[in-house]
Amino acid sequence: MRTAVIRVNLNPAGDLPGDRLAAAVEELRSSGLEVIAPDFTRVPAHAREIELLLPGEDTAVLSAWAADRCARALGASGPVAGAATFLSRGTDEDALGVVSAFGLTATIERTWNNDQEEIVTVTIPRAGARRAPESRLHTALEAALNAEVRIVYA
Amino acid sequence: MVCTEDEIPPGTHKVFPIGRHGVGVYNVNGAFYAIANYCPHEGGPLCTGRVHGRSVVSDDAPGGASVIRDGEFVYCPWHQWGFEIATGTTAVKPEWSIRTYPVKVLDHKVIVTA
Repeated sequence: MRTAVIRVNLNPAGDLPGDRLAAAVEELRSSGLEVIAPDFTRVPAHAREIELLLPGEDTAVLSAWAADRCARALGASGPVAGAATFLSRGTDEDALGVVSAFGLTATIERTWNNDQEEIVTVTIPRAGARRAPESRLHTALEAALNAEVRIVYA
Repeated sequence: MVCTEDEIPPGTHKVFPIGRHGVGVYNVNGAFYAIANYCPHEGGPLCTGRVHGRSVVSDDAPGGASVIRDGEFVYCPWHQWGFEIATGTTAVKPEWSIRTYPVKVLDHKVIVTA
């Protein structure tokens, strides 16, 4: 399963003290959640955003859950979920996720050359070839995998 | 194991020959992160770029913007696309995810796992 990075602005109104937000982050962490949070004393009051790393694929569901969970930790309404992204650990799921973000489907095959360097062959239905520029897809996949990527259309 | 802890002091990084493009191992305020040395925009050598914070609107600041979370973002030297080192992502382009690797520090040895 992929890991989503869900951004949540804890207090867009900027009217809560920083120590209350820090206590909410500690509560989230103590419940087992992985949270990336800034030093709230060094961030403008309206931009105190944290990130929750959550397993899952549906960013709408995860964002709604994250905003609600942050509100409970904060003891106040108001947290707003922002942009959602996904971590890549170089798995097939990560590669397929990148492909799907371009509106495509694919199959993944991994092979190794004589120097034991990994080669990832991404096969895309020919009908999808016109949906996304191949060079954009290629650099996105090489970044997500840190391996040689070969795109073929079938 | 890629190096010892003291070889990458806070605020610095090193690039190691891991994977097709190499991996930059960063010490961000004492926490270690590893990210592929490849920008998803046009394939630039991401880890040779500057490390900085990110800008947010701030009406009270001169120029109307503040830099927050200094040292937590790396900017590709080719076109200045910025990515969070901890997650390898940017909110600007959610379809981009740079490969990151879990990093452990055991007995002062920095270990990057695939």
